[in-house]
Amino acid sequence: MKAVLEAAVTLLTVLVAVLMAVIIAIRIGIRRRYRLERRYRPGAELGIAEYLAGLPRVPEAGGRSERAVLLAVALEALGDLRGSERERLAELIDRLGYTAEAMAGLRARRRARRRQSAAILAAVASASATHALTAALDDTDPIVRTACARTLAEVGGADAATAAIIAVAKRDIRAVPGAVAAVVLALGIAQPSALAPLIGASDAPPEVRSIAIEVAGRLRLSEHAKLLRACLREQDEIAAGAASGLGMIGDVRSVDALMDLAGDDRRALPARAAAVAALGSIGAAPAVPLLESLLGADWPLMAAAVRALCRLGDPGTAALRSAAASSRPEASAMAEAALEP
Amino acid sequence: MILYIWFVLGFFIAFVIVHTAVLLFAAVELRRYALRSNASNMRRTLRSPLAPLISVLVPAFNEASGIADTVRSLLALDYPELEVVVINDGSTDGTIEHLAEVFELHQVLRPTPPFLSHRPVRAVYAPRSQLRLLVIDKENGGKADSLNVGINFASYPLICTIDADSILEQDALAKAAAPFAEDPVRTVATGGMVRLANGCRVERGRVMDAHLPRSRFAMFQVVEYIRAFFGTRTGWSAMGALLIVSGAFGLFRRDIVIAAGGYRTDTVGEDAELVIRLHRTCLEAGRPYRIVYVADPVCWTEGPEEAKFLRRQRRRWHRGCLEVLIAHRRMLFNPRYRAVGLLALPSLLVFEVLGPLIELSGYAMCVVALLAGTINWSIFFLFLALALLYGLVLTLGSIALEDAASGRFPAWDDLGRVLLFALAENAGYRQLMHLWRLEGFWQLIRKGEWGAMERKGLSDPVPSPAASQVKRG
Repeated sequence: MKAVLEAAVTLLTVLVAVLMAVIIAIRIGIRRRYRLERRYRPGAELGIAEYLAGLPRVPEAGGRSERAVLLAVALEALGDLRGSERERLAELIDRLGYTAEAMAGLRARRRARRRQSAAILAAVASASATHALTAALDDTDPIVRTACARTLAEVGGADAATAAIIAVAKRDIRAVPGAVAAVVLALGIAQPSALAPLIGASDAPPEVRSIAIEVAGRLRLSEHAKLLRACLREQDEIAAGAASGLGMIGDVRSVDALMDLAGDDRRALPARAAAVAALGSIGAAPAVPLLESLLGADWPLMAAAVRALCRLGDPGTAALRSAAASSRPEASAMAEAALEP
Repeated sequence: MILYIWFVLGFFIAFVIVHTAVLLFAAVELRRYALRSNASNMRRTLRSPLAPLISVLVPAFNEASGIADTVRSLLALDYPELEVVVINDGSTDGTIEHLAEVFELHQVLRPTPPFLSHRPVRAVYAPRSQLRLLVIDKENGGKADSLNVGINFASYPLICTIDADSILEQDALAKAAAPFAEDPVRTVATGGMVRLANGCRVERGRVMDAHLPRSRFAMFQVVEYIRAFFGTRTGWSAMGALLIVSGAFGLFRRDIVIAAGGYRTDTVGEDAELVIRLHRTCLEAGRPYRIVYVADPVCWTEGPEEAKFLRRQRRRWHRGCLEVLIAHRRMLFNPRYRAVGLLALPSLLVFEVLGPLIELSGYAMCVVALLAGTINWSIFFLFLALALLYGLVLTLGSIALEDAASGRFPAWDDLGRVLLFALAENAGYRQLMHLWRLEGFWQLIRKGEWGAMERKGLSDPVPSPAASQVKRG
């Protein structure tokens, strides 16, 4: 037993020494990074600011560390800039060779390097990288694939690229759903019509469809209203998203279908509540009697109905007044609160 | 005696295996996190129309001295869309009047949503300005009860629970919300790092200058927090068995919390209880889910510096552990609950609940053996060295992870102080904590007090004659 304990003590002593060495190494690294940042950041910030202000001088970066700091500063600035200033800075990054380096980095063996390169290209969103980005859609790592797909969607391109982007979205939805949502959003912003195959296709994973439906609604893409209307008849989760989307779009032609959904007590509450909210957003006066009847329903539906009636002008206000005077305590309290100036 | 020695040895080996595995998982998880996270990506996602909206719930009991600063700093957080809901839990120090004065609140009609039950709401206030702030005045019912009120009134799908005297870093909410943006369907809760603000310079609800505390008790807690957050929670999170999202800073999906029944008001460990119930609800429903610890977002809080308050805190924590284990005993060693039932809860039972008892019994046995003259000194010292060295390995491992992940406290003398206290904790502090925790056992049997802690306050207090600095711990 003594021998075993002695061996264990020796092992742990060695481990303590190794961990101390690791901590010291990490801290030396942190210190070095801080020092480099302190040394190069002011120059990099000034150089980029002067360049953006229109001075002819192009910021220069000599060594590797200086280049890394300049790139970090440029990427931070890109996140905050819009319009022509953003374009100018992206052009500068291109000119200084960072885009070319990142394109080469997409073919690196190390996954970390490929991810970093994809992130740089995503931030710069330069059309010159289209070819490398398209090739990277077949990368083995879903984070690299989705980052490149999003950038491609933002940059725009051929229909073939759109098809490949949609394929990535379908393929990676389980692995990186948030990144796929960003891809679909980028697609919705750059090429709204490209969302149609995702919203309507019953063979697409339901998670991707839900995202596409939400994006269509949030971006108020009225061209997809017909497809969204068709979704109201599908499963509750899809129907709820479609109803919210139609409300955001303000699609008057959907009022009947939304009223059907809101009044159908076989459907789930969130779907019905979404339909009720949409009727309010659209300003559907014919829905007042239905909404009034829902003032005795479960809380989420009742709350949605009260909010919707608030948005329906005089007929809605009249309905709320009668609810406030009613003997149903919850409905009365909610209506009173809604009528409060 | 021989049997007892083998039992203690077995306990120690099990402790080493479990904690080493957790530390290794933590290292792998932090590396994975570093590889995945990308600041500019996160910023873009959270600025997009798909960013999750958050209601920040602030339960407050006699917090007049600092509540306005807390609310101001929360409203100024770097997050695209959030609302702050302050729940005044029947304060007697003028908290509500102070808030009403600072934010120009007026009473509004707002029916109480019926999702979770709680003590009656007396009034609801909103500011005359466009600030996204709601103040609810309710009868005193405790922190859990206040959070249930906040969950009912919250307008957004995510709720963030924080203590009224906690300080969130500017980007803490964005970082804690990132897992919800990355995986909106499966993520049900996230927790962030809690650090002690004792010793830091705080101005108007913001930490301006971070330093290690001067107080010895606070320094020991710093060592404990580093181990608990970087070593333990990250590791359990990687295994899908995180049991605690700190009450001082946690983010939850509101619908899932409501489906699970909200916070229980009959336990002092309501934060851990809720997290375990979320695991249970999701696993029983066969719902894919994840509860994630994110090492990056930081919440600063004040730790007790005086023995009597630390003692109350530890008794309460231990009692909370026991209550949680009793409430969810069906999950223990049950394969249906996967890593939670087979690893995390048994580990909580054996190392956290029974550990103090076993360790203290070990000291007692040493004394008995010494008196009986049967002690083998070389084995005794070897075992002592083993225990001290392994404790040091865990602390150093956690510090290495912390440095690699966040790069804070890079000063060399800070490292020296942390290591000194990591060694010194074995000479009295650790044993004292065990004793206090055992008192928690006793409290559970007696169903005793709910500790109160005297707060020094993190920033300059607002002059208020009625202000009392006593708050629930």
